[in-house]
Amino acid sequence: MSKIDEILQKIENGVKDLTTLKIQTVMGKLEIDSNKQIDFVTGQEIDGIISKIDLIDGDITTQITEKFYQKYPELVQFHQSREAKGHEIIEGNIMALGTIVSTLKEMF
Amino acid sequence: MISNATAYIVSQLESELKTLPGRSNEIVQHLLELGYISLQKTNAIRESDIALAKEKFLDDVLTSDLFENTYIEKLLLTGHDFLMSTLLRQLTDIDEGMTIEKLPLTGEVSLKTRLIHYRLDIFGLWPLDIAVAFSSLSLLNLKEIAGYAGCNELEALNLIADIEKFTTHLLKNHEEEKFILVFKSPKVSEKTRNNLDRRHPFKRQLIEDFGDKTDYFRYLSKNILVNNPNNVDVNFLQKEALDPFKKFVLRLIQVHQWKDGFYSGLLDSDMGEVTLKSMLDAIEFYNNSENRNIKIHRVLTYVHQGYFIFNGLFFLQEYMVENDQLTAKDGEQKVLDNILSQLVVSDEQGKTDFSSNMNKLKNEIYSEAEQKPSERKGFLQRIYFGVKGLIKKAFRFARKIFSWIKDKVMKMWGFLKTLFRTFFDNLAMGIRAFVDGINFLFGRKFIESSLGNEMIVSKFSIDGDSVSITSGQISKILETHLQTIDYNIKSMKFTLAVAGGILKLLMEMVSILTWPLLMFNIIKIYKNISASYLDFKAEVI
Repeated sequence: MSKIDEILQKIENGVKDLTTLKIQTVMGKLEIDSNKQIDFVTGQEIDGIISKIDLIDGDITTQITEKFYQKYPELVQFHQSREAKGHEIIEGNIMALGTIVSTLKEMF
Repeated sequence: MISNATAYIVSQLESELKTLPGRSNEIVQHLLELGYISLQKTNAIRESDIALAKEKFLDDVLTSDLFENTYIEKLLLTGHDFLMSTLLRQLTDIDEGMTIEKLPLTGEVSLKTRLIHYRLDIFGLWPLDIAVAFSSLSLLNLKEIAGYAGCNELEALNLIADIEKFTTHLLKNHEEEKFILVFKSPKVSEKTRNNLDRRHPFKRQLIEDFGDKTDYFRYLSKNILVNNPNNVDVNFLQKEALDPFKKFVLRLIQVHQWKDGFYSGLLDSDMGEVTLKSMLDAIEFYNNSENRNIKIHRVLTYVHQGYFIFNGLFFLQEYMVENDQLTAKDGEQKVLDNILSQLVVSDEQGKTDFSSNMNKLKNEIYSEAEQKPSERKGFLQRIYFGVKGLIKKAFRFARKIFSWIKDKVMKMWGFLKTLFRTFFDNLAMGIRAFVDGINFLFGRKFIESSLGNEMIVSKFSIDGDSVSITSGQISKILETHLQTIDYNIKSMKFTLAVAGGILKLLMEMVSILTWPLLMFNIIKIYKNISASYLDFKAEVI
């Protein structure tokens, strides 16, 4: 299999695996690590909200810390706005991946 | 997932991106030119001024009738920065600028009124703030241009958005003698005056070109271009230098020079040392590019008491008007193809020299792009970012451009910098889209918004989004952050199409790629995919 076929195959597999969308909004102190990536400072308590959307049966599971829910209503709202767009996001992502596959195929 | 060689090139392209010119200073310059940021603030602009100006500009775009909504939506697909800079470039374009269908009513303040005042300002006919309402003064100054062009105000407004067409129109509709221009330049050094005192050959040339066709030329020969400077009719020179039409033509020449990259001074109608030098540079440039030997006296002579005579007719006809009907888009493609074809067949030394000098050109363009717009003596120090007219000219000597770069011909360097500014800009846009697309595919795409110590970071991957926040005090940046996310999501399909195109190129050519070859191909891929996404009449700049 050529390298380009490998890439196409992996992208297509990626699209097939897209059955769950995870959206998380978390809060804590950030730092820049040695790889110049932004990450949370270790050892701190992190507050936040995580939603998992099952794209097949439409189930949405949400976990939220109590402090986050009580203290930051505007952030809960922010998260919900991303959650409400969950299907749109995943649809967009699938289309986007479709685009790269078709661009690569067309240009062959 | 990708080969080591490709991963290496991806990381090289990421590094390369940091050395390519960005559009942020250009966007700020255009916002200043259109009065969204006040000229007085130029030397101390704050980020909040820029953010407010961008917001107001986009609001005005959406409420104006200058752009179709479908056009805006398509532009948005290619990214928010691209949307902003493309709209701003179109508005400030004086090569093939936008046509306005109807003049505004007195009292109106809109994008259209800003555009009108911007155009008047370019030609030195707008003394007020660009953002003020359309008024009787706006109309009066449009009338002045309409008078010169022999048309109505609306036609004049649209003519000055196509400076070459406008120049051709003026040349056709005025007597030759109206383009023999007199100007006073009292601050020019004694050395320059002596160097440019070419009265005798200038007179001989004038007789050769025009004979004693009219009283005007006869008078010039007998009373101005005389042996003894003390016999020069200075009153005549003074009167000629104040002729409003001739003053306007001189400004037009300054604008041409600025647009073509010969003049980097202020657009101030001051025919000082810098403007004179730009005229001499233009003569030298065309002599070199077309193997001609036009002498300075063909165009210019110093006369007396700070007065110069300039043959604007020859200058405009020879250098500023391109008769070839080639479109800028075709011209650009042909210039690129020409360079690429010569690069492919060049020997190793040629490839190395070309690559090294291309790098120098890029570094100089980058340094200029990093300079923030500034204000001096009440004028904006600005760069012209359109290249449509220049590309049409460049096509005339497309075959020479490769060797000018390879041999680093200094006389052509200023022209090359102007010509290649857009080239590197397209390269930056192409690489940015590629890196963005690859980062998304590998879950490394971040969007950061910050205000003071507060920060929101969103990380995207194909199976989810995650947002990390530093503290709860970020309500001020939440909205902006959400908007940025939306802009990015909308442009993802385009970004991935570009990434796909470049990935394919890397896969196919990884063993034979040289940096210049890769660079040219990235530009071609980016432009082709942009064109297919932006399938509309307006050209992508």
